[in-house]
Amino acid sequence: MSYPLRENLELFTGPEGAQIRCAHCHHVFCRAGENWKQATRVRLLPPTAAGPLMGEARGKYVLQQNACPSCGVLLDTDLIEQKKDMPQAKENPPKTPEPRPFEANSRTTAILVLDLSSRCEDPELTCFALLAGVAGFPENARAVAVPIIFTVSASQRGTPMEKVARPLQRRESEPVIYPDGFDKFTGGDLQRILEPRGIKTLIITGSATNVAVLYTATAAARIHRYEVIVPVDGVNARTRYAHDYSLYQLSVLPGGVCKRIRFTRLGATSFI
Amino acid sequence: MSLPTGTVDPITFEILSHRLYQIAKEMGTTLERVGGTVNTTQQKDYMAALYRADGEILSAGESIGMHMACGGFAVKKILERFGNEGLAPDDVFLLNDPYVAAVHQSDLFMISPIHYQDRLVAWSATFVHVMDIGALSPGGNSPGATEIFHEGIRIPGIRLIDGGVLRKDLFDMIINMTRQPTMVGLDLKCEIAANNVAKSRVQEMFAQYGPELIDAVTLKMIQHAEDALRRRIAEIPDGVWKETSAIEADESWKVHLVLSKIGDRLIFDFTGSDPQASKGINLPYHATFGVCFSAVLSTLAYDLQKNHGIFRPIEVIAPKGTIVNPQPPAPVSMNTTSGAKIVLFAASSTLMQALATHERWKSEVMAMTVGRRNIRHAGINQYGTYYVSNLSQTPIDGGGARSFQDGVDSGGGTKSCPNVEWIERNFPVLYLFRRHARDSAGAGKFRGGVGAETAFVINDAPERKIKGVAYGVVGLKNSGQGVFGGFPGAPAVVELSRGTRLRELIAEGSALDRIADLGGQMSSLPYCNFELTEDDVLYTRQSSGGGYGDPLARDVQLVLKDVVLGLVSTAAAGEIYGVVIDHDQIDVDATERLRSSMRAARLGNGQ
Repeated sequence: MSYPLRENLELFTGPEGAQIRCAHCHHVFCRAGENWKQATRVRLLPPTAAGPLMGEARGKYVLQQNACPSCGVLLDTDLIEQKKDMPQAKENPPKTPEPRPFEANSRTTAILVLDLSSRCEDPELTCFALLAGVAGFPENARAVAVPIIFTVSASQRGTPMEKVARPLQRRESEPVIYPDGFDKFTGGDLQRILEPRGIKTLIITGSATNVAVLYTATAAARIHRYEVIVPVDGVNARTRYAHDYSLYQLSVLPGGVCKRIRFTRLGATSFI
Repeated sequence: MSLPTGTVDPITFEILSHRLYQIAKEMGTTLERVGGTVNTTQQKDYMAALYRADGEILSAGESIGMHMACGGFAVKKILERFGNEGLAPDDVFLLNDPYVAAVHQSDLFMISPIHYQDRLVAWSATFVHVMDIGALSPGGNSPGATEIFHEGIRIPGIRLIDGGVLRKDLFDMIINMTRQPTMVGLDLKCEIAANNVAKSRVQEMFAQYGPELIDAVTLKMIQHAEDALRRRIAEIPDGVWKETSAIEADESWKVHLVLSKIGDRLIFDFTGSDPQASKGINLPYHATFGVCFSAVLSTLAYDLQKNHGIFRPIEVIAPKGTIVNPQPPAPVSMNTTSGAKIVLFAASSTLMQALATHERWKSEVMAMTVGRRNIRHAGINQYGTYYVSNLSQTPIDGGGARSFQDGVDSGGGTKSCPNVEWIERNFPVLYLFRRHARDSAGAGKFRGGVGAETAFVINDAPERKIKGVAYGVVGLKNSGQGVFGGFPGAPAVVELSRGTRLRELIAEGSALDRIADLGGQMSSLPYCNFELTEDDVLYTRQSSGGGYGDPLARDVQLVLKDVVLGLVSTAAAGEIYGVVIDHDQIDVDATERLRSSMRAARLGNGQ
């Protein structure tokens, strides 16, 4: 059953509960109650993209467009204030890598959950949006004894935020490390956990895509020669642009490194 | 006193309720025929309505929603001030205090109790926007005013006609405080005439049908409207919708609105809006309520009788000391065309978002316009007489696109616009053009209406100059906002070009096509007073409607039609709509390729 939310957007109730989807191609954006705009393709264009008489707005405003990432139908267009840290309006977000199903060998795979500490229980923070999805993910892995390692930023150690976010239901046996760097291999604790277990594949989840995920995945693939799997819906960043660009960056790392990094979705990952 | 409403048979109800509607309309016609200035006689910038004895709106003809609501507040204030016992059958009261019930001082309410057999049975009320009110700037809208004391006469409610006798001393005092005593006097007298018509017609009805039946009918009219509106509101899913709108002059002011729909109620909450301004854009609380009332009227209740029933499901929260509930002495003179417009946009936009969530109502959604720019002008005319007037351009903006049709071109406003020849005959100005502004409409599956652009110069002005006042909604986002992917319309602007080569062009016999061809030095006018002298050209462009839906979903034949009519350029047809047109013919293959590549670019592929 579906209900209209607006032109080309509808609320759909299916086996996975209430979701918001594109009414044009049925691409699912998010669960009901979440911000569907975060799952759209965002473009920033000069105001004159709306017509030649918009010239006076140049430099003060940009035209922001939200399109369905599947069919490209335009869902929203807004004239928004040009901010100093905003990417240039002429730039388009790069093409992100296509996620594909992934079957993990449970004997040689480990899951990293990066920086989803108790601070992420604040709904105002970007990482909060990940908790629900990532929380359900390790259950399948635990069933086949896949190691799960949590990281928390070193700056939070000794503070009330040093614990792993409660919705993730970390077990006592699952290690938490506090690396002092964006690359979570910093300090050597992570390698000391992985090496003795004969791990060859790392599934990296957590936040932010453009910081901990980007640097850790790069080091894992480039320096430590792991096969890296990134579920695109298991990582996020403050802006869609930052998220997309980081995934793109991982997909084009030179020297053959990008070939050791693959992309999937949480629900498309299975363990054998 | 009244009969139970259930005892009124449907045919009698229809006849009497429509008769009351016609009385209100006849009041409006009287204003137009007796009035003195273009505001009243041609632009329909007036209100004429009937109220029940307690001040509840009874029937409002086709009046402006905001003012019919404020008229109700004005009637209640007169009742409070003078008391039921202090009213004589042929009294008429005058009120224009924005901190009592008016919107700004230029809107003069004339309020008349209607008695039948010595008992107060109803009220009639009118307002007209007089052409001057003795404020800092000619015409009333005063960019330089920082307090209400700079904005002209302020009347909290006086008895102008005492038992049928005009208090001429008061009347003369009021009109002599304006720059145009004769015209203001005419406008006041047209209000008296309209109220006399109302009184006479309503008393005839009472004599014919008796007060019990009419009282029952009027109660039923209000109940009927309320019940119908509540049913409609209840159909829409409960929810919360937000909108922000702004004026951006040398300072900027924002209105934040959260609309909550709970059951059969609508709550407009303006908490978080900016503090009151020291510029006359502030909108008193009753006017903020009136604007929300107006937004509900035009979205959910456009086919219902306009009466107090529409009031009841609405709640408005506006914190004191903000631009939507200013406290004295905050200035207000420019508010109807600024503060009221951004409040109307926010209220309408949130209502449209709500309508979009219901299958039955989603087809009613349309793109809204934030505002437009206005000009007043004053000086010595070609007949040697001082005058004040306005360019009456507000009605020639572009209407917002609808879910099934394009917006109205150069006529999206609710009022009327006098023709160019009438303006040139009465005032020392000459139009270089008044036309649709090409490429101004917000693109979409259905495009917004095109706004009009005008250029004019002084002509046969004995002083070789006239004064002007620029007001309206200043800012680059002051045009139609697109919905559901639709693009925004081009902003409304007022631009003054000085030292142009206009006379040279006229001597060459060249028609002016582009303002850029004039040369000279051009500047955009924010809120300001200015002088228009020889060789100056004043250019205005009204706001254009926002588009509805994805421009790439627009029927290519409609794009071609717009190009042929000169509303959209060939270049814009390609760049915005992805339609390739050559010599008024669509290149089908090239259009398909272009649209396909434009969609791919949205996905980050190509480009």
